[in-house]
Amino acid sequence: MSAHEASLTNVPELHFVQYHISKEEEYLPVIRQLISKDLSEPYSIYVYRYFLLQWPDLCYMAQDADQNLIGVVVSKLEHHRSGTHRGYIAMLAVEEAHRGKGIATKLVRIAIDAMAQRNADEIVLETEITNTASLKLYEGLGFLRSKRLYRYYLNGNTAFRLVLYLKEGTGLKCPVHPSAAGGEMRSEY
Amino acid sequence: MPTSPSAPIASRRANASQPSCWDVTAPFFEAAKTLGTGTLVKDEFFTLFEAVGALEIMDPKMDSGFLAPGEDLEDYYDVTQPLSAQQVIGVVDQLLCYEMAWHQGYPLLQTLFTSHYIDVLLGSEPSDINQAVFSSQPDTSNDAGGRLVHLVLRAYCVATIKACDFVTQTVTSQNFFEEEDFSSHTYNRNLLVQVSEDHVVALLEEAEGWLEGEGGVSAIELRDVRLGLLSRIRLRKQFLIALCPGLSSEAQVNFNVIPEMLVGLEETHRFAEPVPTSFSQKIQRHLASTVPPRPIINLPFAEAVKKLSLLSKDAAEACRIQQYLKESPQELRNFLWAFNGRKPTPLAFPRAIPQTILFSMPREDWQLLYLKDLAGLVFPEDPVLDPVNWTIEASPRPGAPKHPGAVTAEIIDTFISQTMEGYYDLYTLPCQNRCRVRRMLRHVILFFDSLYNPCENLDTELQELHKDVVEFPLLTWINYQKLCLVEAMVQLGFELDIYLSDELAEMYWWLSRISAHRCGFLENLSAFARERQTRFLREKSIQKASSVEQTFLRLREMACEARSTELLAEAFSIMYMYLQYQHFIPTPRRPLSTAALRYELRMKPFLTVFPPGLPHFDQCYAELHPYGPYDENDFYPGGSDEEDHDKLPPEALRAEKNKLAQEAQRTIKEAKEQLSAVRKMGPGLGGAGCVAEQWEKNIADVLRACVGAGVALATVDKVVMTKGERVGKELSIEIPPSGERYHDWWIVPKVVVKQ
Ligand SMILES: CC(C)(COP(=O)(O)OP(=O)(O)OC[C@H]1O[C@@H](n2cnc3c(N)ncnc32)[C@H](O)[C@@H]1OP(=O)(O)O)[C@@H](O)C(=O)NCCC(=O)NCCS
Repeated sequence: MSAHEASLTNVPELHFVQYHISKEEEYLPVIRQLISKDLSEPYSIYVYRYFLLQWPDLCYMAQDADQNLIGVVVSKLEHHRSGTHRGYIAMLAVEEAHRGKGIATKLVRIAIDAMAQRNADEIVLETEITNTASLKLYEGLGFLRSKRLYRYYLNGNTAFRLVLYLKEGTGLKCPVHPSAAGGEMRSEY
Repeated sequence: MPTSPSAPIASRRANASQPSCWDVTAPFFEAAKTLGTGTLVKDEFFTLFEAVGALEIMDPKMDSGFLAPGEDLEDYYDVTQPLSAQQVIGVVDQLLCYEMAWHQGYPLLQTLFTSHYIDVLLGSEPSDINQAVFSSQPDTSNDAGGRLVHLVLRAYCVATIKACDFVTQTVTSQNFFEEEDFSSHTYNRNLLVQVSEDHVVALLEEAEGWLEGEGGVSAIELRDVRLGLLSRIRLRKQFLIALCPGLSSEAQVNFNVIPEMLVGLEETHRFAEPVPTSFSQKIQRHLASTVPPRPIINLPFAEAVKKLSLLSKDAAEACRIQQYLKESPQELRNFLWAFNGRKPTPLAFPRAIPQTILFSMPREDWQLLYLKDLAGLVFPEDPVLDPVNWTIEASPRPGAPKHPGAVTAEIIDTFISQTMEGYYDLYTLPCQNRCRVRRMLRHVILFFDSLYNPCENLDTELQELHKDVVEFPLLTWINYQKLCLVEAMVQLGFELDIYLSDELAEMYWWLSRISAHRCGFLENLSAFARERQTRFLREKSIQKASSVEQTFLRLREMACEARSTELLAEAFSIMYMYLQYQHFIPTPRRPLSTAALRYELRMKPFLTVFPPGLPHFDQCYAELHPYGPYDENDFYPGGSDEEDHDKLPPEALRAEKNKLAQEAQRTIKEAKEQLSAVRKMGPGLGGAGCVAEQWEKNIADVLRACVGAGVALATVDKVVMTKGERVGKELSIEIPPSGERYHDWWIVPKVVVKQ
């Protein structure tokens, strides 16, 4: 079943849209607002633009019939210094009132589909060890916990790094050139 | 994705050599016209890290200089105002809370540096103690309020800063330390580095004297309040002396008395009268303008006291390592692992102590340690390590054949220098936090793995000179260490909740194979030692024979321990297979992944490592699925060859699956027997005499896990046998998280009877 066929219950007239740079003025403020709600410290505009301008095709939004933003996923895809072509899910959020209906699952699947089509080897992300909803979502799709990152977040919370391999042989890829991107914000452990 | 990095980012490409200037205003506006609004102008070196570190001016959550209407840039607080004794206790206790929050890993910016008192003391950049004052006007008044502030509180603050200086020095001088545990950032403030510790102690003693003497007695009405202040000043002194770098031989004693001293603080904390205005988040503004405002970290007083008490106990324990520096390397490493395994994991400072002590050993001592290590495993009383080999002078005649002893020494020296980096890591590893230990293990394993070929070559040379040696001795040593590291990495995975419940059967299966391999090594090596002992006895070399016997006994103990791990891991693997066949642990649907891809991901750290050598996925799948898939979400992606179990009628197949419970029980019983044998041998044999108590507790916990697993299996089995397919309605299984288990590495499922 492809992500686009994934059926959603209890959410009539929900549609999924790809981000577009030309609509930054319309989309970006609401995306920021939705994502900031669950952050102790906000991201600067540069963080959003870093992702949205380089990988607009890897950001998807869920909107209701009135074009209100219900959910969003922000990701990127690049050659990682570990030698893999690595997809990274940077942000994911669903409006509180619409949680538990499969919206995030669908958004994530669409983003991963897009990354798989662009030849990604693996998908990586971090999430707090206490974020049950997020862990359940990703682990239900097939992600495994690869590392535990002690005090990863500034508020002192610990994270799991979750990884999903999309292609055989990914585990055997070797570091290429040292200048390749690290990818996460803190020094790679 | 985490939020902003903790430190401002230094400019990476400073091009200071050519300071030529020109006006770019016009070309800039010209170029900017061609861009649409919001276009990112990004050079290729602009990283995500930098994006995250960037600030938005005029956003109150990011711009630390942003002022709300009517807001002042700074809070004004007069540090020279007199305080009551109760208020001084209030400030001092709050400082202790911040100090402990800092020890836990939060930056000074969000903790101690929020104090106006600390700010003023450091603001004048004092280079000696007389400059470390709250006011440049000397305090000549002798009134109580003045003395309490300018003597007592000042002494406490100065000593706190000096303590931070010592801690920072100790932690940051480590071979390996990371900011996640400990924030060493001082925001360009000098933590009284030049102020001598003796002067600080003298100041504390002056305050102590005043509090004890007439001045204090007449100034402070309530005796208990005065004693409360006294106990705080005394604790401060004690703590400072204990922290002093270089770690005197009394450090252990100095740390040891701190927990008792804390009682005096707890008893008088009720007098504390907080002075909240003496702390301000706004102080951040002039310390770090390039990071967003950060919240103050508030640790409750009771928790801070507990943290300091633990820190002191851990530090005292850490100092004990000095006694074992001349003992066996096994003893040292057992000490470190036991120390690292204390609960909760010791904080960054106590963990820095053993590293400081170990790595101040001269290189010659490290070499001796390494040689002892080799002797203990692969060269028992062996001529290869005969010290004489290192004393043979090269022949003055050019072209003359070298003495075999000298060549041997050369080979060993080459080996040591090629592998020393990894050898150090064996000691650095257990000084990190648990999460990092696991991640660092991966790198150390790869390093040891890369030594395979060079060691094999050295061994070949060595074996040409020495006929009666362990086969490939150096490689054996390297491989043995590697197996220990691989085993530790898998075990830490259990401890850190890395594996999902339906991965447990697989991970215990893998653990069992690693331990089996390790056990095989040890059995071979102990057989070799036994033979050698017999030979020495025959030759009447009594002393050598008894030395080799010690090696033999130790190797046998280690083999026995490895075998117990092998058996217990096998038992747990079977137990989880059984629980999966009974549908107590459902397989998630996982639409985006396959079992083979997950196997590759999970085993990534071991894919290329030999030994132990990872079996192919097909083999793993077959061994873990003797009766076919566990449930409808568990299917083998590669073809469907007719298997034996496919020929069985459903009833017989079910009976086979049910039998797994008994098989697991039998294996647990065998493991228990091995464990009991190990326990009988005692901690001393395997080099755990230095941590005998923890060793005993560890075995006792593993045995409790055996019993627990046996009970869980029996409970499930009974219901399965009576209720058949309906067992799911009667029982469910929960996997207890780390910390709620008999033993972190042995996960016993919790059986919940429904209703
Ligand atoms: C995480 C988040 C995006 C999930 O959104 P959602 O639309 O509710 O997710 P879904 O409905 O697709 O649910 C996915 C799975 O998680 C489970 N789940 C959802 N909320 C849960 C909760 N509070 N507790 C336990 N499980 C939960 C669902 O049952 C579902 O599992 P299932 O497929 O086995 O039934 C949403 O909770 C959120 O926005 N949280 C705040 C931001 C955040 O934490 N982002 C992720 C950090 S990277």
